[in-house]
Amino acid sequence: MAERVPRYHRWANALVLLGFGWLAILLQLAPLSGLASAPPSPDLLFCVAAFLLLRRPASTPAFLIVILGLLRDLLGGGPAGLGALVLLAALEVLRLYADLIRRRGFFVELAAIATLVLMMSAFQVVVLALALTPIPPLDRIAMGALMTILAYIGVAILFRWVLRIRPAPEDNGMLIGRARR
Amino acid sequence: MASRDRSDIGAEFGRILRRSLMIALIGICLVMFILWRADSPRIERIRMGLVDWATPTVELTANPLGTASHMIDDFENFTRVYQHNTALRREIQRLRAWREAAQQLERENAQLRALNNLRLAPRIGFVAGEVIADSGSPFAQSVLLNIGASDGVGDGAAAVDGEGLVGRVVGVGNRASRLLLLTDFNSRVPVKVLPSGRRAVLSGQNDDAPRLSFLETMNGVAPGDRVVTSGDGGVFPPDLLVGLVAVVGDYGARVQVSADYERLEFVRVLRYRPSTRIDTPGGLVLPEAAAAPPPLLDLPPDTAPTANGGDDG
Repeated sequence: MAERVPRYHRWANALVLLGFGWLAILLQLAPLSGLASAPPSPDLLFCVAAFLLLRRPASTPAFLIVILGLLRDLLGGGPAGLGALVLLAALEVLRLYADLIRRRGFFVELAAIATLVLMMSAFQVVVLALALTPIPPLDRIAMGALMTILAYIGVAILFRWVLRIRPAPEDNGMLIGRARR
Repeated sequence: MASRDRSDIGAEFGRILRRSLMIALIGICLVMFILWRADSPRIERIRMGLVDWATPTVELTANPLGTASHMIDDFENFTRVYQHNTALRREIQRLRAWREAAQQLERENAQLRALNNLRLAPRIGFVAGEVIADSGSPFAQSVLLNIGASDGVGDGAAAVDGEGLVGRVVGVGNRASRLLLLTDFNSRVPVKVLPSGRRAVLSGQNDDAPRLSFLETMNGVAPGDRVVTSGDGGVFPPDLLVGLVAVVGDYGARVQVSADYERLEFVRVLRYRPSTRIDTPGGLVLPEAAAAPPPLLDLPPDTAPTANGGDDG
């Protein structure tokens, strides 16, 4: 019988989400170019949270994701609250299919992430339009989505092969380090 | 058995607590979005409180990343150094001629100022700051500065770089402030087009070339015309360079902004007080504070001045 993951392990893993999430926000805000036509920064927070959620669903609580999303929205200067809500909705959908996606390999995972990123962008545009807010040019939004999909590949390489974060069986609460299979 | 029941109750209580927290956070997000849409100043206050708290860590990340980005830019420039050199030599030749003209104009200007010494000049000071973050999203065009109210930055102040107007301060924290760039959708700046002198409002469109709105007619407006702030409304000082008219079409004119948004590192936030406005006879000879009637002193009732004169009895 599988033992339950000790609570302190779960909280330690949640701290990893907080740490990497905060780092993702800071990297996303780094001033690279002020030009409006410059490629927008990828949504690194989504990449980090999605990768960790697929590997450790129990250690990526929804309330932490909302808090990180709100921090990102408020520091960034964009529509406050909307980004956090969209992030939460996308990750909850991902949580529903996490087992299925994980079993099918990385290309299916990437396809699922790409679909979610496009849906997130479309949803934000629809909400802003309904709120009668000016919408940025669609090519820039599409460019942002593409950057996020590409960034996910980078995040996956970093976390999987450098930090060795892999799907773990239920009885292994270790996040960083080789998982026992 | 009893301990198992207790642990089940504990787990159930934890679930309810997490669910309640989630609902509360979703509610907070919705309220924030509604307040943001309604342009509530509360959102900006919360934002700036958070920015104040996060400024040290944001600065820590921004500096190395900015340096790396500039190194890549510099390397790209290095590969085109020969063309740049030729272009710069040509530019120097052209600027020598302009320097002569500018020196003549400066002398003439000094003579005219001496003859026409009547107007009180507006007082402009500035405080320089560093860009530590940008919005990182296609939905906003703004940057964070590492200077705030404690450095004398005021809400609504204009910010310039070495080339021209960069934007307007829209949020002020104690140690940081947020600057809305001219290219943002919400940016509106009263300007005039030179040499025609036509007045318009520069409206950001979330692209590189803001539009000239409320321009009565396109007559006399041509590509290459200078666009400067008009000073209407008294928020921005007049005659700050904004950019050049880039395109004039049937649907209005677009402006190429002079500020170097590609390498925005340091900006100067202006502390501007409009020209002395003379509304009262006292204002002609005394500053506003001195012209106001002095506060009543704590005098005995029999000696305090009254509205209809104090010594009629």
